[in-house]
Amino acid sequence: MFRSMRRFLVRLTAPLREWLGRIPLLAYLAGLVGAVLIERQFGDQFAAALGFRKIPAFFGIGDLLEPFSEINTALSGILGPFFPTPSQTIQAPLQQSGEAVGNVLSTFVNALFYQGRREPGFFDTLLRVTIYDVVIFVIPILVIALLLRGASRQTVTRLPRWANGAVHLVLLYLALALWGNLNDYRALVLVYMGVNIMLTISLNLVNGYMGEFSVGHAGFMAVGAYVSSVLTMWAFTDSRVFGPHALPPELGLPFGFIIALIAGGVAAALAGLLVAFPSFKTRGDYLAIVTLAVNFIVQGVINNMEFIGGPRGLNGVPLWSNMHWVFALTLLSVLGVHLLVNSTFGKGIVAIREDEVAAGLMGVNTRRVKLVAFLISSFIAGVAGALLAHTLAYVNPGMFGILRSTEVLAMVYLGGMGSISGSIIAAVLFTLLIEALRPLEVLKWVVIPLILIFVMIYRPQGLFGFREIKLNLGTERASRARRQSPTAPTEVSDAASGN
Amino acid sequence: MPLLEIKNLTHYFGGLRAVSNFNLVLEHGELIGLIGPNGAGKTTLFNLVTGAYHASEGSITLEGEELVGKPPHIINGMGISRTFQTIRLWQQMSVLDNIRVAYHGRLNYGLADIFVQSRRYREQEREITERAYELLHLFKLESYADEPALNLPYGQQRRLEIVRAMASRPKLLLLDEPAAGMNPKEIGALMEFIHWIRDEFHLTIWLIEHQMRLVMNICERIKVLDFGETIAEGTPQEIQNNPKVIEAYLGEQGEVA
Repeated sequence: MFRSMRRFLVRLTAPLREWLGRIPLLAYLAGLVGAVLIERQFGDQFAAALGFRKIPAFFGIGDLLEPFSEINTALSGILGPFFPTPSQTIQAPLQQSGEAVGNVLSTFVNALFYQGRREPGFFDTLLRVTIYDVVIFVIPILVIALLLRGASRQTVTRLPRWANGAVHLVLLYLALALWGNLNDYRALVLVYMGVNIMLTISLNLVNGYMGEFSVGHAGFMAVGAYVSSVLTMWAFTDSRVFGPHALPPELGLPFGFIIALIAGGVAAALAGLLVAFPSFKTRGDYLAIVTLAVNFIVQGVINNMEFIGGPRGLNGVPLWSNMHWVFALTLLSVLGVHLLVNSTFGKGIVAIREDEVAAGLMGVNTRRVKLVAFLISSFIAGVAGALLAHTLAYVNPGMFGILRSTEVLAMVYLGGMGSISGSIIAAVLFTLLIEALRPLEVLKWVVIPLILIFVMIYRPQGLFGFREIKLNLGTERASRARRQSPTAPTEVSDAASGN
Repeated sequence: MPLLEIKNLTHYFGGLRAVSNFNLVLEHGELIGLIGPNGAGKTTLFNLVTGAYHASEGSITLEGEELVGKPPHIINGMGISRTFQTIRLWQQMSVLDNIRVAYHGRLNYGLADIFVQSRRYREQEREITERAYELLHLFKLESYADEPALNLPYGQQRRLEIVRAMASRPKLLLLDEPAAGMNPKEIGALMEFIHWIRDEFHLTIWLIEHQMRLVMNICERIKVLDFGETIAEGTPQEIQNNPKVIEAYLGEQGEVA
């Protein structure tokens, strides 16, 4: 029934989507910048008029589940009576539990409906969030995109390719920077998004494109985070751990930070060798165990290195990273991986996934290709870790455990194997999801895995498995000229296709 | 100097002797066949020559250069290419990319060239893509260029495997049961096709095949293998009348017409 409903909806909206798809991306980006400017100008007043305490941070998705924040406490009432603490004595736990069930139901129903100005219900919030988003974002974006569609088509066809890319990127950057700049929480979540995109893309290189199963990605992140943090703290800050700064702090930004990021990446890449070399001899599940072991080794080593704080971690990492740095480095990572996997050399990575033995026999130096894939993957993870450390001003080994690795894996499989656009979308969605579900507290860790389970059942290839989104950039590719040359005799294959 | 020379080649799988004392001299431009019952060690021999397995004893030389101990991609680069008994294309990759990867051994740009899209990188990529399209055009697979290999009909997949093997410009082409799964009409076309690639590309071809019609018709020389040992060698006529061969195929009491 869902399927037929979906098909019906798809057919119903097809003309609209086709029409919208004809507008070049550039016009939409311009629309986005416009919408963000409108929000900066009128967002506060409009949000207040709609009854929001402050501007909805992420299109209001964080506010949506706010009414359900008490459901967690209510739920714990169901099982609580059966497991009393030593000081409690509970009579008739069954009855209490039964009351708690009723309590959960009434909390849930209450959360759905309007409960007064201080505590609006779910439907009420949904309505207001929709109004806010439509008025501030959807309508301006569409209107501006429509107005500028001709102009942007002309711009796109007139400019050379590199300038085109630059114009798109500048607009995207402007939109994100202006949007994130409005509120610290947004800026922080944008950093998380960028870091998650870098992690997902780099893991997808190994798991999706090369077809190995690495489950210890957070280990490389830890190496990058620690090496860069130790470097910047030792060189540019006065800290209890490393004493006074070794170099003039003025050099810290941007040069010191750039060097620290590269050093973090290189160190992580070296740690990647711990996985790359075993990968020559073993693969699949067995290599997965190796990556798991590497994750634990890294964590264990850091835990036991007292001079960098051991399990307590490092405090006072300079707060140098921000959404601008993260935007730039995310962009570089995405571009780098994109160029790599589309080169003939990078196609060798995919050939290893499809049939490693055949790849070797057809001239692919499988060891070299694997080495490169692991090195680049762990390098990007290391830089992501370094960025995170310099955003939070704090690192400890607990941040880079198997849970973190699993989160990255979840994003990769949600987005789809071997897809860059899928990875980006999954990382963005996953980060937003975590923020949206924040009001549910612990329950979030029930809901997110549940979502993953459903994705794996109904869409095992992920959102964009082995596919990329095709954006309408407004440029048509010229058709290839074909040459005349002798061709093979009668088809072996024409006949063969008949059986 | 012969193109390929195999001397006293022996290979063990644990205690099992899969190939025993195999000798072969292959001259430039020859088209020879290797036949034998299932499990005779034919594919093992191909795996030894291409470096998928390392021979236990003996030597294999290509134009005087030793191959035993070299990794497969080096041997491929030296001029030996092959197809497989069961199709081993890179299924999810496009037909064009299947051909592109076969040029892997000839790439001489570095990682930095990829990331900065240097002129060297762009020139090599353009050349590879052009050559790949040329090959696809030549073998009439052009219309499938952007299609994932697994979407091709069976016969086209077999053809693509041969094209992929041709992309590295081999001197010696090893075909492992090219006619597997084909009907008599298709086998006729395949025979013509094999002749055509040999003449067009000046190749030496060594093939394994069970289809006697194909082997007897196109091979100039045939070797027969049974339990890892060479039991006969000669022209198709000689092989057809060799009692040892008949015994190997039909058993000792086999009645021969």
